[in-house]
Amino acid sequence: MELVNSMRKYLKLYISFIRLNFSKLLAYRGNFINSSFTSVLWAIFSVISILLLTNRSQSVFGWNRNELLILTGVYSIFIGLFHVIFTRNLEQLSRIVHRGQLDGILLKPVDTQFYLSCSIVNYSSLSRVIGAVIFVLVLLQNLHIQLDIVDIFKFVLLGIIGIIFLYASWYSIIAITIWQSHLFNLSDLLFHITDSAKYPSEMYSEFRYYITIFLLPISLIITLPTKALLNMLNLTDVAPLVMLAVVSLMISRVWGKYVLRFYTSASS
Amino acid sequence: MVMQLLITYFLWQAIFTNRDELFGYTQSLILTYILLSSLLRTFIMGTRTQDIGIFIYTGDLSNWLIRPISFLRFCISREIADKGINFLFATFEVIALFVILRPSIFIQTNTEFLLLTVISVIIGTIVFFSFSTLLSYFAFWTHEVWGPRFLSFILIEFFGGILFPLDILPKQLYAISLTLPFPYFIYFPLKLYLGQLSTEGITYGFTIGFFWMICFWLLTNYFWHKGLRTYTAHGR
Repeated sequence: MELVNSMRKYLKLYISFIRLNFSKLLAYRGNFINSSFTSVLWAIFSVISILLLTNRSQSVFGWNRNELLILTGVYSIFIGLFHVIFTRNLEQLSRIVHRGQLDGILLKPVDTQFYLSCSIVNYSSLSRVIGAVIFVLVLLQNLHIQLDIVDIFKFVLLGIIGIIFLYASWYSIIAITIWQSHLFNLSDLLFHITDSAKYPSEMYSEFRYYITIFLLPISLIITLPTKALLNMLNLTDVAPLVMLAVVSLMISRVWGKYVLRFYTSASS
Repeated sequence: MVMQLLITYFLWQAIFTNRDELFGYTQSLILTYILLSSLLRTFIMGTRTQDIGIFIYTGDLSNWLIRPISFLRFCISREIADKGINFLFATFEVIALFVILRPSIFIQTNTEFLLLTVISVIIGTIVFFSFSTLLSYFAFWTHEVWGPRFLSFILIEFFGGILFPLDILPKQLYAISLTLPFPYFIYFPLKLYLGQLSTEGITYGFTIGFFWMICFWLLTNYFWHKGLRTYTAHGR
């Protein structure tokens, strides 16, 4: 019962965040239009890159052009959703810590990780998500791929698990800024690492370099939901992602609470 | 920088797994292009000019205007220092990656091409500095300076030849892109280094590059003086 009440409280709080951020969007309309346009343009250029790279190749790592385009579309959907919900929050964590504003957040009667992760909603990335959904649906129709409710369920579930893993990874790394608040560019590094999810996981598993091993889990985030759509999914592929998501979420929670012990307010 | 370089490097290496040549490039040429583009990028596109926008809309510009030094010369000096540090670190990173990955790369030995490459890098640096400074001058009229800058990032990523050489684009799109300023940041200097441009291509490239250099320099001076007339230093 307490859990249900708690969930209801956080749901109401999140709805308030959505409303507040929508009001902010209306106040800065030019910025919203420009950001939305930029987001969509970025997605279009990703598609053009795939078209160019597959212009003379029948397949890349066992994926043909249409499959790679669907992968790019799915990337825009789930990474777009991640940008809507989490990215702006995690980007500004180092600024919050550096200016001593974390004090005010710690004093609020809500979970600190929830507030730090969810208080900003980035509406401008929604345009990219919507565009990508339409793009993927059109592609699937052209390829005569029929989806049933089970396929859609698998797709959505794997996408959510992927986003959870990505969020937990980002939070665990960004939380280091509570220790070292000058590390403003950690989010830049994470953007580039997340970019690796744009390509099939087979690309990283084929290379015998230790430096690519940590990119392999990131690549599963998008590859597995895409394989669910294309009926290429094996259940053995799913287990590692689920385990990674659960373990990384637990680690992010424990680690987040641990680093808060080292927070020293900057005379707020 | 290292992450993006690694991902792009592995992608191209994968594409060349079963072929010797693609889009007129061998594996050696394309990997040389990718490695050098990341090095050049830190030099040409590593910039502090976004601070100009922050100075303007926070009112800190006033501190510089009352000093007996030219604000533009201060920005240029700071830019040179910043590029020096960026280039030094990027060189170490590229050397480290070269030692780990051991790619087959192309070394240009023709001194004419090397000299033309250096000149094109200087032109590209000036064009980018002027372009980025111009973007910062939006702050004289609006607080929303990051929007145009993000849009320019995307255009530069695509049309600058950072992720792939521009001549793999369809002919019409390639021809249009060569009229824009972006290819002269990375793509044109690298094509000169690889020795893949004809005399006509070199002449055309330098002509357009010089045009954009002069155009942006004039626009920068014009909008600096126009912006100063509207500058109010509110918040100070």
